[in-house]
Amino acid sequence: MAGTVWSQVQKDRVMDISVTVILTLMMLTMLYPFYYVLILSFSKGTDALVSGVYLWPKNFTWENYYHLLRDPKWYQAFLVTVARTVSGAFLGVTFTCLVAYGLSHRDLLFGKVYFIIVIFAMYFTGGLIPYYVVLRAVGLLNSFAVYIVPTMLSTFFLLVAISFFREIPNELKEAAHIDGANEWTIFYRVVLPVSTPLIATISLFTGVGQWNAWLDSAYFVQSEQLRTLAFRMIEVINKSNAPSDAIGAANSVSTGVTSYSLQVTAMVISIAPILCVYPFLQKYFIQGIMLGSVKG
Amino acid sequence: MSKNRLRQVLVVLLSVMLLILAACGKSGGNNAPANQGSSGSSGSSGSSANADGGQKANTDEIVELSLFIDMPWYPLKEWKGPVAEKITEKTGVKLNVTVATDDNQLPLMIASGELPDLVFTYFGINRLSDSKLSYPWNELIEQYAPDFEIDKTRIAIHTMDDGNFYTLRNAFATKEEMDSNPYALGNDGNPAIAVREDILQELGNPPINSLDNFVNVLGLVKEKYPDMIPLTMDINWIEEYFQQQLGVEAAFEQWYENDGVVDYAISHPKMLDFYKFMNNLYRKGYILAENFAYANDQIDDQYAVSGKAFAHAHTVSVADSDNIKIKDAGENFSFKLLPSVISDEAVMVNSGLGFAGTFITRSNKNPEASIKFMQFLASQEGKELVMFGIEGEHWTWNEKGYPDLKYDPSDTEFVNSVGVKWWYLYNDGVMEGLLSYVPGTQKTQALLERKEHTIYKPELGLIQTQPDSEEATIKSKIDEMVKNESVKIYLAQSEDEVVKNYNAMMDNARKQGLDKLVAWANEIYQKKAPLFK
Amino acid sequence: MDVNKPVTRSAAVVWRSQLWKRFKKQKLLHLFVGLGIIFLLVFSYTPMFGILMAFKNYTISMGIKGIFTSDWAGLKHFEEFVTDYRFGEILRNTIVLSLLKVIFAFPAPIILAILLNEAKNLFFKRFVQTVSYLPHFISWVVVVGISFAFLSADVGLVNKALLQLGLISKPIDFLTNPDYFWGLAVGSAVWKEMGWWAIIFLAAIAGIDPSLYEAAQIDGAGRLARIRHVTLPGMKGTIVVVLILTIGNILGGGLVGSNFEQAYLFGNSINNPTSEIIQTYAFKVGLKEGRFAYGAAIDLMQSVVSVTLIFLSNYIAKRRSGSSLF
Repeated sequence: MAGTVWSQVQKDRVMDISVTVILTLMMLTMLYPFYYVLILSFSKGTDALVSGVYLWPKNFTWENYYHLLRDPKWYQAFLVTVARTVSGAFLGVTFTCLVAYGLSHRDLLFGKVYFIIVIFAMYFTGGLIPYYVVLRAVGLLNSFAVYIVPTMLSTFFLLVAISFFREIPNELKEAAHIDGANEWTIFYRVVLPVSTPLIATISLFTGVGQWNAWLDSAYFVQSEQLRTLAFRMIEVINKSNAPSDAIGAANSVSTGVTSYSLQVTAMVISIAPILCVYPFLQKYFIQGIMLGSVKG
Repeated sequence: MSKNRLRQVLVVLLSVMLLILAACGKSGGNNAPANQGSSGSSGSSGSSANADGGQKANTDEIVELSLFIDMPWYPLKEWKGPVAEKITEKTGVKLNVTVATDDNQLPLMIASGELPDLVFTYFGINRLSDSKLSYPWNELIEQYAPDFEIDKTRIAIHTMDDGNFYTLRNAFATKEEMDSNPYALGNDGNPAIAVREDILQELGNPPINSLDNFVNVLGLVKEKYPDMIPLTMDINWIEEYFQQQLGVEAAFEQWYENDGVVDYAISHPKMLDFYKFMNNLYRKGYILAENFAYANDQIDDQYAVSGKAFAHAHTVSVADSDNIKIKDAGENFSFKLLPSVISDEAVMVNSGLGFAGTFITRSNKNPEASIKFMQFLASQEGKELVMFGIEGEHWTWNEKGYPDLKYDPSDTEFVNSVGVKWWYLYNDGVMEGLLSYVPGTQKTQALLERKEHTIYKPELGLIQTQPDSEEATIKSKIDEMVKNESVKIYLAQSEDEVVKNYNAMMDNARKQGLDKLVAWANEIYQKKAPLFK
Repeated sequence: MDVNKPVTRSAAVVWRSQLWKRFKKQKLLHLFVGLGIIFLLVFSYTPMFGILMAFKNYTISMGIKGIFTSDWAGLKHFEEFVTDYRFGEILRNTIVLSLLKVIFAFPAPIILAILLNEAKNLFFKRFVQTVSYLPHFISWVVVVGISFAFLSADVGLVNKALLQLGLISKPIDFLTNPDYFWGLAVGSAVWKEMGWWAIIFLAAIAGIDPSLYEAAQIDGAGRLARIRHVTLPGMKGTIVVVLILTIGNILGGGLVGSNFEQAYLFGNSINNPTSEIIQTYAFKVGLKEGRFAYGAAIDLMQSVVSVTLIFLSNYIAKRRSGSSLF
């Protein structure tokens, strides 16, 4: 059957080439803008928009970084943010998966009722003011816990996790049942270990959410020691955003730092740690399995 | 089982961190507004009844009040620096400052009932002038500071329907006050256009002393320099300069008055001329359509500074600030402001009531110290201290009648670290004007020119919709519609189309309730105008 | 109901005790779920009293009590919105934008995940995947800012390049022409979020048993066939769930969200006829003025639409594909 084998190899190669080409093109459309943003962060604000900074800053400067990071308070903010990211992600993953595990059983009594409660909670909201009042009533205001407790359950990931757990072959769970394990043990010893891609994904999404969150730091916290890094950045950016007709605000002559260049720099600062941590999570959902290699 | 061990370690680490931070959070938070107690010194405030309300008699304790500044861009957020310290010395009050992160914070505070002691705001003035939320100043003055004298005009401006006034806006001055001091100028809230001096020279220095001249020069520029944009405009300052030159007495969203009858800006008889003028600029290619869609207010600056624009429309400080940036970038061309008046029909009406005001909220733990604090800020000594700095150290009066500053007011680093000007929780327009007076700058020159031509009609400024009222809804919908429709008119393909679109817009406005709005405005005007006589 | 309702009394007793037995067997599961339900009751359901605002003449100076004590306004706020002269246009814009996002922005991450899975070189795979999520972190404000440098009709790089190459004779006004707004919004949303959401689908693919691929290969299936018969079915559960949730969030922009940010930031007076959507309009004439009651009414309308769509799509999914949310 020499003819068929040849065409398989050819088809395979065509496939490889198309995949590579498409992915490369796509990657370039994403890499360049990011690179562009990076060099903007090293440019004077006044150069950024019109003068055509495309490959390298016209005037390389550390000004923007200096502006954002010189306030000593940002060290504290950094620590707070790291703490909330790690604890928030951990808490979020474990709680969400726990609840999802329960709901993933199709024969669960009242299952439909529970689902409806979840769905309605996802889409109906009373708004900011009642939420604030509830947080106040529960005593979470102005404490570190307000960063990680109300976000413990992500309804979106709850539903995604449920669908993941349902895909796990029943035999695994039944085998454990037969061995006399209770639901908790099955969850901890059987289901979680095979759900590493899911866990990695939820950790990543909730972690990033925690890392970039500033709204709760602004509205629900007054203590300066509890402010997050993202909040500090917003503060600096706000200050450079003086409306041009705010009476007297235009007294300050631009030093080359504009609100726009600060936003860009803040973005680079926020993403740097994520880029460092990311490869450790990536291996859980990018596999190195060589698929499609034609066997001889 | 190293994976398990790792997990256990992580868990322990996390719990420890959590505990530490939770403890830190609750105890370290001594900046919480409203509910934290601080020493009330009501007993010892037997302050002398000095007319300038200055000296605080020996207080053993400093009163600490929380202040919320409802402006996210505010440059100062901590009560420190020589000016702040001096104020504390004189009043016995120290402020615990929080600056807003966005516009939702104040409404949240109001709704949840957690207001700080003091609020400094401009958007929220109408909302906070409510006896449910703030103390009326007149009551506090009667009770604690009967020697706090305020002129009738200011009281009239701020008196609400219930007969009380809850704040005084800063940055205000009556016509008489402004006239009495030749060096009291307006501020950056005034439009202007700057043009490239060097290019003007190359064109043979044609005079620009009328709108037609200006438009002709733009034509020359377009011809000889096809790569340049003749005129670039800041997204917030597109209309005002031209509207004023063409005799349109009110900017968009404002009111004008004629013979005691008030009407909305879009109905002004000269408004159509203005639209035709702008449309002409567009059709001739002197302004870009894209200019109306700029997403921020810096794009025009960069066109100007990088040399791609001939004329730049912004505020009176545009030439000075562009020139500094240009020098910074190492170039050697410069901008020059056009005269403030280049048309016989020019009209400049100032209907401003001031900028922002401080409120003493119902949650305030020491209203007495608060009203006395405001009294000090309103005194001559307080006004000078706040606006200029410490006398002798930072400035002195010169014989002509304006302060000699020992620093450059546009040096933000210095200004912010000392605390000059920005503690103006109460101050007035004359003081601010004096700070603006920097002989030699183009801005000062332009403001001097403007001063001669400005007509004051603060009664018009009193026509303000109350939050959550029907008029407020009508006004915001009409304003939103005008914003969008105006651009269609500017970009029309012919003058006929301009007229057609303008009429269509007016019809639309009427359908939205314009007549109702105008009737309401006249009612208010009739009620409030007599207060100024 | 999988248990037939009993008819006789004794049957009822037996049925109840059977239910109870089942419950006891699952009690740990109910505990797990119960914790989640309690959490939702506290943080999601208790604040729902704020929904009352939508039917009342409420102003924030009334404080919290005011939500309960202020006068009823019935459907006034809803009427105001629905009878607004721009209602038709705004509704159309919102629906078109949302539909376009579902059609184009939803499949994109799936396709990307599959493509990444097919790439052979591990380093290339990881590198491309990392780069792909970078745009997610560029905030929309920054995206709009840099889009000016590229798409501006006057100074944009794209226009300059196209003009140079002679492909166009006059610059394209991407940023201001109403005809381009939807394309601009959908295109930029795909670019920005495709890589980030692909992560979920990659995780789903990672969960597929590798032996299935081997089996398919042995049966003679080529690459494309393997994708069709192993990869896609293996992702089905996840795809259906994410699709239903996307449809639930359709008014906000579905999976990639950001309808509001894009319409607000890319929107301007010139492209306004196609860029003004429900959320931005409500913001400009309502929330910016501090009209929380009006805002609550708009939110409520959107919530009702979302939940209805969720139930509808769940039903359809169950019918058509056998897998569903619940």
